[in-house]
Amino acid sequence: MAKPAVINIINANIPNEQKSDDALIMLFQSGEQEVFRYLVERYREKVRNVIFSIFNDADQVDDISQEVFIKVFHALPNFRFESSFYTWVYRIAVNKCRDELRKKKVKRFFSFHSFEKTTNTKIENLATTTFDDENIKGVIEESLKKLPEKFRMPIILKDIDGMSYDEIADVLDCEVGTVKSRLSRGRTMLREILMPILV
Amino acid sequence: MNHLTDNEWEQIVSLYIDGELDADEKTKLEAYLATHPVAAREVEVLRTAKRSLSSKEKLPANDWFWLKLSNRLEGRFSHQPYRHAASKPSIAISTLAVVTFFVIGVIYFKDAPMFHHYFIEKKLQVESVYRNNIMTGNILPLFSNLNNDDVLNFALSGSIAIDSSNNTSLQVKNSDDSGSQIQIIRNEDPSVIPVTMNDFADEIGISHNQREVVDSILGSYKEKLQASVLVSENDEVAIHAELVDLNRAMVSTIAACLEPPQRTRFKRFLDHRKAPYALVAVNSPTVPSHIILNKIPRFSNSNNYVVISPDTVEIAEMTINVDSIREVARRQEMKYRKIITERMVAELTDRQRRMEENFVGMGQNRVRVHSTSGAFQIHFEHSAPVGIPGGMVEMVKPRIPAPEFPRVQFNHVTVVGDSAFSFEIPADDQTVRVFKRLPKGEFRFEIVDSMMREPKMKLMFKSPSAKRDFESRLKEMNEQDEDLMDLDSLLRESELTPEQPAVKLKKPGKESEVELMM
Repeated sequence: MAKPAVINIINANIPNEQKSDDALIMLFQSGEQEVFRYLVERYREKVRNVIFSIFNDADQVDDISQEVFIKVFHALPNFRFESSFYTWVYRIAVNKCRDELRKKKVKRFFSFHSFEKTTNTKIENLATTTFDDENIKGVIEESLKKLPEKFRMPIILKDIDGMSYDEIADVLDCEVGTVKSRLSRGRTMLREILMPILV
Repeated sequence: MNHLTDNEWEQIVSLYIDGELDADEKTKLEAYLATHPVAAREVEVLRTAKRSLSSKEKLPANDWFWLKLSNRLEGRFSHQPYRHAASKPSIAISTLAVVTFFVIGVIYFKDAPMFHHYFIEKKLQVESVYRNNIMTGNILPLFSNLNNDDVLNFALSGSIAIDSSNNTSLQVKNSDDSGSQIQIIRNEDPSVIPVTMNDFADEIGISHNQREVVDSILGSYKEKLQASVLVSENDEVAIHAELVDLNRAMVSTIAACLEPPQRTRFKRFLDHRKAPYALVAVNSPTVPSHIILNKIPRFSNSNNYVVISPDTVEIAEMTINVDSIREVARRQEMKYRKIITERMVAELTDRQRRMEENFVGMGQNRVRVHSTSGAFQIHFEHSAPVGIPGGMVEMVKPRIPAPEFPRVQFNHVTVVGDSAFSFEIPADDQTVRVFKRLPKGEFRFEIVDSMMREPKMKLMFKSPSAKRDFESRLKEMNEQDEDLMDLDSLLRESELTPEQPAVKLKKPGKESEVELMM
């Protein structure tokens, strides 16, 4: 896809923080690297929160988010405007998370039993308690963590980040149909975990 | 719906809870669910899950994110931008650890050299932990985006807003006899109108060249001010000991470049705004601008900072790279002031409340950190003078807060001639001896006891007009047939009228002296 005609936007006499993503990227690609901060400020919280949704561990969020934006910084000169910057950054973030999850999996291999036991115990304990909204939230988030990553990721992007099917497809680099089927499959798995607890 | 495969059913339900089913399919599904309670429960579980996930709590924003990222992008992983040297640990926990080790040593180690070695080793370990953990992470100047008006206002008032929307400010107070203090407090009087450079220039009547000099002076002190208060990513505030005296140095340096008539106006300017410093050397020779600008010390002689963290108070010696500060200040536009006021100050004050008061030593000086709700205060037993640029006269002195003024009531006043008063004071042991003509047109009257011993109070009029003004006020009071007149309220009235001389109180030794100054 050809570059959009954003030259007029770049030259417009508006502050950088109000420029569109594409205009900032064009400026970045023409050598004004300082505009990168506006892109970061615009998306840093979204990226932090999607990483938080995936790991549910606030301690890891900032390190991974920093890595994501460093990758974005290095990849931005080659950004071809084929997708929105927003979904492109998400894709990098999701891929980074996948890498991290893979690393964790290797670690988990050596302590698989204890991990499974802990997770199951948490859910079982919750199953015996009286539910208020906070408890339900906890049960659902713990249950979501038990889903395989390829089913979990679409649910996070859809239900937590509120993305459309098209955007999810763009982020996960797959067809919209695949997104729909993974979402439905993931939800079925989630329902199977939750039904005995919540109903 | 009965003819659907499991996969098709799952997909329809999934689309349904996403609101993506078309109207026709939606109606069919809802009709089916109305008659199939098990399926309805399954759908309800998924709706609950979606609702719960979509309301998942967001992480608190990280306003340090960009700074950290930019440092990493610029390859600054390996050094901390400002902090250079180590601290002098003198902390409660360290002391506790030392005492514990001492007790253990006495009980379990009879062998003195072995105990000594063990003791030293453990002490160094504890010290090292604290030394390595002071002001770690990113360090930023709290006041990064100052302009010359901000610096001028700090010079004139000793106060600078941390977050104007929250009315939280940092204030310094200095007096010759009671040490000095730095406060971070909330709820500053919002009615105070800031002064701009234009107001200052108009009121003092300075030339274009002088304005450039004043701008340069403020610019130089701006750097010092920026380097004086640092905040770290780990909720620590480091405040340079010289901050308490920075505004005195600024006012004195500005006064030095003015002509005597301008200084008179500057004096009035300060008096009118009740500035913490009063101008005293009005008639000193004007110092040429090149001397002033060359002699403003760019770097501090001392690198001592009071570091307040959620866990401890430290005196730390840190070398600050002013150029780096300026660079960060230039790039730094994050709204971390808000964080400081809302989170850090709250945490620090909370900690201080728990620990009540905290003393640390800074050379001969004792530093006390004290907190009340929403504010904390650092009190230096002695002020730490910044020093006026070399060769220049000290042109200001702290306005001393009004001491308890002995109330004097009298029921009869006679004005005798041009230079004498007669008073009757009801107290048994007091009478008044009146008047004394002094050289240079000054007048004085004294209140002494009945034995005519040392005067308890003196009133001095610096000029005949001041005396005449006082006399006329006494006459007015007499004419109103007041039985009792209150001398100190009379003096207060004089002070409150801007055209009248301000009252200045001194306490030489045990006696009180009141000067009415024009």
